[in-house]
Amino acid sequence: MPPSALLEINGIWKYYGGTAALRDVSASLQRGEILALMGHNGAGKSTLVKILAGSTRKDSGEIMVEGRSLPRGVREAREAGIAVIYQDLSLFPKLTVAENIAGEPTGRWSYSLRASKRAAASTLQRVETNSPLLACLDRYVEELPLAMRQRVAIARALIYDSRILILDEPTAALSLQDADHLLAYVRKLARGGVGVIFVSHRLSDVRRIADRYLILRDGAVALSATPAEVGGNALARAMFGEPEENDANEPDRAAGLTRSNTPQDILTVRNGTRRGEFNNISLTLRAGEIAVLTGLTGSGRTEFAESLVGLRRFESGELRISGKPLSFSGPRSAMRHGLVYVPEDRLTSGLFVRRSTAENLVGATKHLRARFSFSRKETARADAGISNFGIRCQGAESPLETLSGGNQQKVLLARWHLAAARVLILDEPTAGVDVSAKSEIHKRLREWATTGAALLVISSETDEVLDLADRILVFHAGSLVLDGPRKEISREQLMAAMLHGSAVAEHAPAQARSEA
Amino acid sequence: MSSSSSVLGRLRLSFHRHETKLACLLFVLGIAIAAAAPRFFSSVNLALLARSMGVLLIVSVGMLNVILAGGIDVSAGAILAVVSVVLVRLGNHGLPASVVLPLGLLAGAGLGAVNAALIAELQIPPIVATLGTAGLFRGLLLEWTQGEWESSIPPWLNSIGSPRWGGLDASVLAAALVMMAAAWILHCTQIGRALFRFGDSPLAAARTGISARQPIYFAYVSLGLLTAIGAVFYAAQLGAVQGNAANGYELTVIAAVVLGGADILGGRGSLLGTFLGVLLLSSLQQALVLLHVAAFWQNIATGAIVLLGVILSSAPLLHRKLLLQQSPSA
Repeated sequence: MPPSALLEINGIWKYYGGTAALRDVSASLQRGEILALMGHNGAGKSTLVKILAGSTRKDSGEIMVEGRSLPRGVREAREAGIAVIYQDLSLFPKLTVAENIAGEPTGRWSYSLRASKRAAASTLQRVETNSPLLACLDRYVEELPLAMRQRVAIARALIYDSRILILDEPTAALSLQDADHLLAYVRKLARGGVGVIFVSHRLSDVRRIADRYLILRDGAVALSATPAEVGGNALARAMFGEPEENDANEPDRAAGLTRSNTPQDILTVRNGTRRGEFNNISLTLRAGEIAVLTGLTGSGRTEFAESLVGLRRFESGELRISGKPLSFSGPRSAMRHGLVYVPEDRLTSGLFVRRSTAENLVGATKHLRARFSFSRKETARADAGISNFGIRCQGAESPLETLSGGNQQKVLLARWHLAAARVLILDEPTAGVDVSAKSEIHKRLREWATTGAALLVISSETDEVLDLADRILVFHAGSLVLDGPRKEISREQLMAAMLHGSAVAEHAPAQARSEA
Repeated sequence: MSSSSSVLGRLRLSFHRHETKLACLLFVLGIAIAAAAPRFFSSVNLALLARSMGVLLIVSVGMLNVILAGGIDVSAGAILAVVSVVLVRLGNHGLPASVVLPLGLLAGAGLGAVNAALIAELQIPPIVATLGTAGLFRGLLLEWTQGEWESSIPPWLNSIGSPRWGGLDASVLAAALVMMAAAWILHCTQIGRALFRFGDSPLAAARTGISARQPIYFAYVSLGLLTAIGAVFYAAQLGAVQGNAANGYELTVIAAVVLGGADILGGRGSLLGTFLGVLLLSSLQQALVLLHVAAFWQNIATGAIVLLGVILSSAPLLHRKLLLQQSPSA
């Protein structure tokens, strides 16, 4: 029998409610190996990380560390040598740097502030030369800038001699220089025998550091291979899925669009810029058109969308609605001009989940007044919304929390439809809804567009982009790298633009196929 | 690292800026009192002040534990009343102190455990859970006493409350011991540190392997126990108890802890701050009594000083947040 691997994952399943977040995931990690864990938002990366860290239970399957089964629990995982740096860092902002790094609970009952400070200092000296954190061991973490906080989280993960280090998007918030430093350090650890799982969107980082790729898609392993075995294109294919065969019938819909002759410009942005988020963005949204904006997490697409409705401000650049230069102080003033932003997190920032469906539907119209009950007109409007959008609920009075995710999303869309929005910006409108609700939502959005509204849909799902868009916009590292009609853009071009920021794919033939 | 810098570092850590501000506030108040009522600083009056602070400080240390863990307990006044009546009634029935005192402490810890169980096991928000138990404890107590006064207390309890050592009584000694024990637990034990962590970020605490229930039990049971210790001196000093005793006392306790710089959302707070908060509230009360100020003005003054203290503590935080928003994050 060969010596057991450092980490062995066998057939892990995990369900949230009825949906499977992980489907039969198996993988292994050797000593000294750097495994890049990749996949789209919602592909199951974070769930896998949480299960390895012991903070989430798996439903079935087996995890072995050096041949021994991993017991449940966070401290147990830690004692087995697994250390995690979470994307949200999970620090204690009101405690000092030293306590964050070295104050982790141990089996003992006693605690010494002085000892934890010494341990923190020695770890910092080990991790990086002349760490700036050494000077602020007594400062509170909430006082530190983000890059410094990241260093605190890294030091915390490295304070014990961990054998397995899991980094969840460690470089996302770092400057290039800091990221370089981190990558070099991770490589050094790996040479010393530590197994590293590196979760990242940044393909450039992954290419430089990974010994092996593990790609998840829809909760299942889509690819497990060494860099020598796969080209960049296969990597992208595995992440985004195989092209579907229905590309051919797409032009039909585009033709339908041109029937609404002379598309009218509704919203125009010229040279919109926010330093560090996006640069010199110029684009136009036209009546009757669905533009889908895509890009990897951190590409600046959400920040840009928020700037359109005044949740952030353009530092420079100009926004025009129907030719009039405008700037909004927030969603309320944007609404007055018919511009509506529907954020991704519908439960916390979109809906009133404890209130009735009817109240949610008419919540954005001006006719709602404080009365003992709805007026007949409002009830009629709510009923119209329910039937128009095919919302399945037990009557207009049923609390929204009793509806399924897809139906909640339809309520949100119906609300803005009732409020007669002219420009609609939707951030991930189909995130977390089932397939049938998704196609229904797409259908409603297309109908909506034909009534003369301009839609900007933000999506990270390649299939959705290709399926829904009349026009495709791609952000990469804060720049608009691709802007064109759907029928002129192939899946390969789209993926190349998302991953590398280049509109030109490394391989030309694909383009020819879609032109045919 | 030189020893002097580490000492300085520790000083800075334990002497958080809020405490400095409270000390200044106390100093200003002291000058005002000295001008208006010089009698305040007589040794007799200072001993009286110390005696009046003992119970409040003991219960406040317990409340600090709860607030550090991100909770709140508005049933502390009811627990104080229950334990006081238990002590006096059982004592008056002729049971010896060696039986009554442990029973009283057990009752306090038990009632705290009820709160903890509601919060940790049933996930009821602390304010709701303790509001419910406050009514429950107080109502059961009134049913038991039928609203009657226990107008005499057993002699051993009386001797606990009688002044000695130059006007000080055992409550002052007990408060000092409680402070020392709490300092050790909060700073030198894992469970003490876990309170800070759990209150600061329950998610991060879970991810570093801190139990989601242990800190809650520790906080509420310790508050129940300390409230019971406070009840011993409360009953001993008053010499008589009834079911409506200590009505609203929890609000004074929470005010003292918050005035002492504890973050009502959890994760931040100190014993020194709590001590200064108690000292500030008690001195103000004492001075106003000396000056024969009407009772409602005492309420106004107390409310104003709590608000002032909290504004002082949150002002720099607000300032810092604004600064962070303006500077581009790296």
